[in-house]
Amino acid sequence: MGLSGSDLTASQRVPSGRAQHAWVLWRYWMLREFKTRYAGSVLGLAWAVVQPLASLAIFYVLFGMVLAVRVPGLDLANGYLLHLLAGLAVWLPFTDAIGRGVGSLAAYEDFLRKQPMPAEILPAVAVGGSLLVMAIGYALLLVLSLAQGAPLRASWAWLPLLVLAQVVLTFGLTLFLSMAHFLWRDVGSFVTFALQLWFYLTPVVYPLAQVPERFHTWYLLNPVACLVLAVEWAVLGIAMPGGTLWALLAWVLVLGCGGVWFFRSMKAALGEAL
Amino acid sequence: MAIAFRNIEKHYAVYARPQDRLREWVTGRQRHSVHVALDGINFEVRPGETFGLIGENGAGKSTLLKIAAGTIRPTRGEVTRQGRVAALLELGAGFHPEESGQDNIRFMAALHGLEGGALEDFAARATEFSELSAETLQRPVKTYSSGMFMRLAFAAATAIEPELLIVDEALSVGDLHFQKKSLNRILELRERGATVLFCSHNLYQVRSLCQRAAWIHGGRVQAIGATEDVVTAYEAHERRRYAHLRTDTPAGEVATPQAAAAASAYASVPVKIMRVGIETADGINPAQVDSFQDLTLEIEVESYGEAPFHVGFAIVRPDKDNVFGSSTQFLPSRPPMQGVGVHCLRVRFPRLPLLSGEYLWSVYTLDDSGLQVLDMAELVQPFTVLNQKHREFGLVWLEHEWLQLQ
Repeated sequence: MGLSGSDLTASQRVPSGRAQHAWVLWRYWMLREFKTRYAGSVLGLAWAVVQPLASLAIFYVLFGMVLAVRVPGLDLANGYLLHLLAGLAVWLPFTDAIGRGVGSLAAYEDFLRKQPMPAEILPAVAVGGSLLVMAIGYALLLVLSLAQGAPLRASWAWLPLLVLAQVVLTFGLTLFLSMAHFLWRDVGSFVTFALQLWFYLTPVVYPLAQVPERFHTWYLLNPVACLVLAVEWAVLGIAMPGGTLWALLAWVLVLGCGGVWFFRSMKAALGEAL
Repeated sequence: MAIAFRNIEKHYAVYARPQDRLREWVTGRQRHSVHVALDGINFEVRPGETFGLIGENGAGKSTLLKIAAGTIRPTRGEVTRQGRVAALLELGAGFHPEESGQDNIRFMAALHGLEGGALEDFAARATEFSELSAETLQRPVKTYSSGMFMRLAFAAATAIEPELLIVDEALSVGDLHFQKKSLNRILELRERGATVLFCSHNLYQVRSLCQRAAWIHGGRVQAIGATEDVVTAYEAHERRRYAHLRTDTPAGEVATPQAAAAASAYASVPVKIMRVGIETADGINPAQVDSFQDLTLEIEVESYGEAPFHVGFAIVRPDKDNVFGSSTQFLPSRPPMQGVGVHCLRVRFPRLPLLSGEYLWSVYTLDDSGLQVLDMAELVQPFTVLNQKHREFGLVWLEHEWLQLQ
């Protein structure tokens, strides 16, 4: 066409160019997300550290000190704190991603109608935005564990896999919920409530050992509980119910594939409105 | 081919209630009614061509543009595009109010998948076109005036140097200076070989910009071809639609030029039409003209700025058919008019060859490109032509001679 940069056009047409395009856009959108999330606030990005620390402090004072919950089988000075931290390292990024992700498509409804772009980016940005909290959570957990005299276990090698499992599972669920909310706005209100219930159905503020034994297998029906149990096992050596890792694998496959499938099958509704 | 539509059909599923979609998804039984927005759209736009889409509201133009841009997919058929595409469906839709102008430009670049050097080039082009100062571009977009916002949005939307530009009425926003600038930008892209797919209600713009056009009616292509033919066919259709509205407007009640000019004049009209009048050689009653009498049209305009402009007029019949029109921009050697103050123009018609009938004037002021209408006084100053000395009939006198054949 005689225009400068037509080599770029050619690369956009091949499928790998499409993935590259989405990758560039996702990275930029992440940058913007972090820049604008705390725009106009004094502490700025420091809030990303303050918020999880504040949650941790509240739960620790309430459950660890006032109610004096103890973790059987964990012989460390601050066993409950570490247990709580392991749970929050999983829970906080999960709830952050879901909370932001649910409304992501609806918020950009008009934009999606006017600008051709891969819509999967929006839930992906919500999940990406939770990675910072996740990194902070895991860093605190590992550093504090070592500081409290926990041994460096071989099972720590599982952590990258568990993190990957969490990202895939969360992304799948965010894809599903964001699209469902786009189609039926009831979903957003429901999710707000469901997340609260979900938190108490997950062994974060209480150890599973405090729950009667016969209920333990029920927890495998909760994907986040599977993750929390696996992380507690990997980092702190707390026993997990048999089959937790298999249940987690199943959840990753179900939510990952299911989310993608549902999103794809409903995607046509995005640009349309009458 | 820059963009081709092959048997495009678009159906929208209309759900009476949101729960119907849920039930349909769960049970698999259809619970929606189907709205056919497009049906059998089949044409292509050639590279370098400027192609216009016209039609009534709800005819399917916007759906077609969205399919062209790729924000929605056709139910059946396929659309093929070549080259970099920029879609001006809505300006600034993706802008983040908390982010600076500079960062929003970069975001638009990222939307096109640009990074590194390509991103820097993009940002430089957009910055230059936006005419916003470096200091302004550092501020969050939420502090911008709407004019500044639109300038930035247009700059960021076209900085990709598109090979295919899809424009949906985006030009009818912003101040006149901006409208003109964005039009010029589109013309410039066209000069460089870009294909433009253009949808507008402004038939004047369609006529002056487009080589070919399509008239979309009820989701189908009603007419396609050379712009003049298509626009004329569409205008004829519009006239038939509004025929009942017109018959009861006697010529005497047509607005005076002053009133019409005032009604269409915005506070920001840079060249305002002040007076339209006609004068005959005998000067008796200018509203009664004889065929083949000398007639002079007088137009008085006032310019409030130094920007160059053109003045155009048309003789119009009461059913809005143009009999004859011209503009100062058609004069090859003459520069546009310019200067603050009142300008008086006279157009002399020696031996006016109109035959009996009612006629009106339409007068326009245009910017120096001749595309942007600054002010208009349409269907004003009615006059009657009487053909008393000749028996020929019709609209105008055509030079002719009878040849005797053996």
